[in-house]
Amino acid sequence: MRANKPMLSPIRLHKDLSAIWDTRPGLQRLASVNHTTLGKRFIVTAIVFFAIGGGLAMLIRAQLATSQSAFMEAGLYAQIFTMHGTVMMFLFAIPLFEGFAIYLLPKLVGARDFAFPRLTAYSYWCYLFGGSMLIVGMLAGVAPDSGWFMYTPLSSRTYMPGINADLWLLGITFVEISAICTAVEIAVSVLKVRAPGMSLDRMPIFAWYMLIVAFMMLVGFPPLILGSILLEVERAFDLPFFDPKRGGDPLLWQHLFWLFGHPEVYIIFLPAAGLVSTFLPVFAGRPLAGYIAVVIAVIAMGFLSFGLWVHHMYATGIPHLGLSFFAAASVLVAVPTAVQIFAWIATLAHGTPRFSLPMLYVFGMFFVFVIGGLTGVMLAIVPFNLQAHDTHFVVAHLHYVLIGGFVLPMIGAAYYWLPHITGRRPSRVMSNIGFWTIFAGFNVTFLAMHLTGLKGMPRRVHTYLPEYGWEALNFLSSFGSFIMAIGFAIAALDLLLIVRFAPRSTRNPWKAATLEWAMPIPPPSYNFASLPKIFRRADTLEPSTMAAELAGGMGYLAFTRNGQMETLGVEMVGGNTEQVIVLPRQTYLPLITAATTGVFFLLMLFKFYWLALVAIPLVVICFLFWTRDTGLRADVGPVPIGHGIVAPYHSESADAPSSWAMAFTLVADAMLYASLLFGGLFLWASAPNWPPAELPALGVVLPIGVVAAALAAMASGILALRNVGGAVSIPALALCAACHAIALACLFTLAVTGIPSFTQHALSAVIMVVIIYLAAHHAMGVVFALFGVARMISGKVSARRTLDLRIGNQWHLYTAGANFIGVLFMVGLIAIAGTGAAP
Amino acid sequence: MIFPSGRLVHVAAGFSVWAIIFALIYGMQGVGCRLDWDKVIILDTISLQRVQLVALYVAGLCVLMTIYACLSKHKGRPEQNAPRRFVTAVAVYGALAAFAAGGLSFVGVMWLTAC
Amino acid sequence: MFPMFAAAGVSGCSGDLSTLSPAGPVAGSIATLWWVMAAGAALIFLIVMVLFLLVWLRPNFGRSFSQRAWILGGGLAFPIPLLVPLLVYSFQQGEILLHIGGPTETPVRIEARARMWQWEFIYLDEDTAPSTVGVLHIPAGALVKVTATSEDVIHSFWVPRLSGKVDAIPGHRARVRFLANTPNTYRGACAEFCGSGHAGMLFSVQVHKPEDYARLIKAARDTSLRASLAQVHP
Ligand code: HEM
Ligand SMILES: [Cu+2]
Ligand SMILES: [Cu+2]
Repeated sequence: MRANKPMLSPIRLHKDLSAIWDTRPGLQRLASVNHTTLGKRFIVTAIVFFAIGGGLAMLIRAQLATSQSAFMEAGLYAQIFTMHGTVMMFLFAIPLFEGFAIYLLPKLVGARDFAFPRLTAYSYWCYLFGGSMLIVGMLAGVAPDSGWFMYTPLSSRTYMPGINADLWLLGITFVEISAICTAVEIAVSVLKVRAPGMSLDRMPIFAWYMLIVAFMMLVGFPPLILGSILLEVERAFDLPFFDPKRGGDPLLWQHLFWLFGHPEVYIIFLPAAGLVSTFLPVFAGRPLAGYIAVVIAVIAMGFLSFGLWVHHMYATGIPHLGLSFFAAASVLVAVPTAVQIFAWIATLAHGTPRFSLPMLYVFGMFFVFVIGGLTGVMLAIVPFNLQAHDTHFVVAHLHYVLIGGFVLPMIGAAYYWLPHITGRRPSRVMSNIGFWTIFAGFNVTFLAMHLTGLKGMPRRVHTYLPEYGWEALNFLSSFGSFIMAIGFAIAALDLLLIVRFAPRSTRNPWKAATLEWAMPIPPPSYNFASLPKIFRRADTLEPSTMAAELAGGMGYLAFTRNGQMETLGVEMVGGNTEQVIVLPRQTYLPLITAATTGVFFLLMLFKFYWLALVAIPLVVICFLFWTRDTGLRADVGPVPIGHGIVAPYHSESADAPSSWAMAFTLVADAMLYASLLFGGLFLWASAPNWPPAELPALGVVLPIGVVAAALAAMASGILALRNVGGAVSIPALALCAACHAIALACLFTLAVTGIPSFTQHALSAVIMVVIIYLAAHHAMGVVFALFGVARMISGKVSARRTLDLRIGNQWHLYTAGANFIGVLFMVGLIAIAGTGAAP
Repeated sequence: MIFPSGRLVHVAAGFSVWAIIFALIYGMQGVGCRLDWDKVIILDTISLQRVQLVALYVAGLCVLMTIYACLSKHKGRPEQNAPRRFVTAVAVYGALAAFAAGGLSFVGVMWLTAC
Repeated sequence: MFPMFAAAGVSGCSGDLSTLSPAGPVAGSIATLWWVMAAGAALIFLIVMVLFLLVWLRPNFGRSFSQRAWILGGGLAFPIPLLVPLLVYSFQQGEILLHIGGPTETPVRIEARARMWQWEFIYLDEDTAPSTVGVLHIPAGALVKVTATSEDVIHSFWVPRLSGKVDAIPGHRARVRFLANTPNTYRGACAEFCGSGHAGMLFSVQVHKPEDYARLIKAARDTSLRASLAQVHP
């Protein structure tokens, strides 16, 4: 490769890039937006939460070790197991894989960072603040205590009047915001921000896994967010979504929770599997077998995992036919899992496997996860499930899956990438002892627990009588768990020692063939001094030679320009260079925005609802500040990227990452909305005490008015875009804002005049929430339209730079569609409310 | 049906339809029970509930089969470059898997207690 | 791993709440299902682990099969023929258990009404609908249909030695049918977490000879509304 500009010396290039990309020292670390830094922060924070969750697990095991234990009373025990489950699922597992993905993905696909570095930072702060809220609450003795799935009515105000449940709902929603942001980030970045030439069929397999996981998160998390909002609204304002006396239904919560909760398990498993698929081939000495089969299997798992949720609800009295769909999907999902496992076996079979520590963890994963998968198939079988459900058999199963399918492979991955993260070489002896202690302790703990469950021990009991014959088994489990804890301590100490004291590692110590090793270790903040061109599948590269070439500036963007952070954007499928993405510099804005978001959640928690309402516009204002240093003030045209190639800046590109970000955000938004509409229909079909005594009367004028205004807003947005640069453009956008405002007014009037009392029956409550949902979208529509006006006035929009307007139009379009569906839904639900005999 | 060739969304086509059918069948099962369609006997012992669900099942399988057939027409087209060929292959096998999954997921409609 | 279960099966499955010592046909058939699945799972587990260890530790072991053969064989041909029959069998078993006794046999109808933290059993077949708290009386050998519901939060009715569980959900009435073979006392527990009294929300099921049961019910019929059978028969 030859660059067209005079080449900078590697040292000079490094200095120039570092000056721009490095996180500044001292307090300025809080302004970091770098994916390497943030990835490490996610990982370390998640490990801290793992230690907390593990400590709680030890308390649980201490309590259950003997019958009639006097260690904890029921209330405290409930807080402990609820927090254990919550911390492990939401504050450890998800953030840990997010951390790995954030750290690794840009490096694996040959980019300098993600598409939206500030969003990564915001997501980290949301996670940290939300998680801390829960931990502080626990220390204050008000931890949530209705189990990690928070079933209503136990978690409703009547039975849990304290703030414990609010803490869960608000804290977890805060953390979910982080997860949604990360999902958008990952999906867009994998699709758009790769090295030139890295087409989809060359992409490292981990990027495929994470792409699919990101979509699963976008579709899977909104139902829980919606459920949490509804439950919080019920607790705070008495809207009876889950109260059977007023047309609500506790089962609605279960559906919403598990519609999230089951995919969640696969969302946790797949990234770990993706990491194994990345490093197992290295130790097999050949590329992953069945690349395409694995991609298809992961897609299949991604979808099938959304058809399993009712297998947590077999005992609720849903008709057998209904259960059968979920039983079938639960059994079917074992097939792509088997494809995945045999792809690994095939890789080893055709390679020349060598022994190494990460592989030892893969062995552990096989052993443990296969058992977990097999008990999973058993639990999918309805009759057996009715016995095993809610017993310690399930507790054993879920730990086999989570520890086998996640914790063990993640520790393996940690050992594998430790040289990359720290630049140091792993040791041998202590690491092996650590593994075997964990492995032995784990199996002693949880293998016995299957039997405890079959012998009838329900989960979540803090005490039991000696005559049930559970004592010996429980003691064994507790004994094993302390061995396991020692094992984790050894592994943690080992990792710590490596980080501090191990000798420096050579570059690419494992002889891997993926891009993340084509850079110095530990990696510089900008990853690649120049960006590679990819000619082959990205797990068959030669990182060592590439590293020298890229550091020497022989790739693309081997220079700095106007002090900008630049990386390349590609066309999605083929991977041809398409745009130069200019990334935002270090800033405190993510921290400030997350803190403002946190203020909103705290105000809600302490029941200052009116003030909380004020905090929402503040968050929006914070986000508006983010846009200050984006965009160009004049048309620039294509700029050189080296090797005589030119590409436009992303703000001039027709396919900029941010419009995909908006599209994917709207996917999540639509899923939230769909869950809400589903909820309404579900209540009609399943809840007792329908129809209500008094039906809402929406009339004709207002609904038509809302839809008309929404359509007009959309049309004027389109008009503004068509005539951009012309005289009608700004007035058209002003009109768009006005139409949104009119729609808002119509909705407000509708809510005030059309709905009897929204606390009296779930029907009114649901319609109220639909109206609020639409109103919020119109309010944001006003913001988008006015933002467009501001951008035009400031000269950041031109015929070539229409990105801001296009993003706004995506919003107007979605809002119009949501409105149309929403009005149909409301009218329809009221019309059918009175039909049929309630079950 | 006409599909442009080698589009990325196709990789999810088969299973997206599977998901929609899933939601539809499960939803209609609930609606049917709510409206007591299982007590509306149409023929001998066959209820309206059973009939509508079996119809959905069969229709769903037909749609899945059609998706598969349409996608596989693009397979091995010479004008596609390697990435597009890859995407097409994932889409085709994915659709086939979705069809198979559909066949098994909903067989219960044939005989299991519906309400 | 699984030999441990087998050993346990021989030695001590006789706990009061053990699903592995069934005392009626419903729990019995589920226990059998468990043993079959456990044996199958043990076998599958062994096969997968042996394959993994061989390909890992014995280079050249797996080369004679192509990669494609490994993946299609292990990923499709191996699991599908096992899973599909299991699934269809379980559907069938589910139907049988759901309708156990068939349409002709009239069951003894009981309502299990849960509240924090006790169970009240209402004998729906009697005009006065007498009830007992904490003890459920049923005749041996007769089909029993329990309808579970709750007055507050969700609980779950579970008598492991007789049948699977059924949730007691406010506003819902879920059902379960089962039989007890012989007169005896069995324990039941609440299986769904329901607050601080969850662990103590136990009850017992007293299975009587049919003639004893008839006598008991007759006595209850004479007492006034909702008299507690538990008092008559501690
Ligand atoms: C470190 C070793 C661990 C031990 C000894 C342990 C032990 C336990 C025990 C005994 C319970 C049952 C509590 C009860 O039902 O009364 C439990 C529940 C649970 N555990 Fe763990 N656990 C460990 C690690 C994990 C990990 C790594 C995860 C997830 C990634 C996890 C997720 C859960 C969840 C979700 C529950 C259910 C909580 C609930 O019922 O609300 N655990 N754990
Ligand atoms: Cu209970
Ligand atoms: Cu309970």
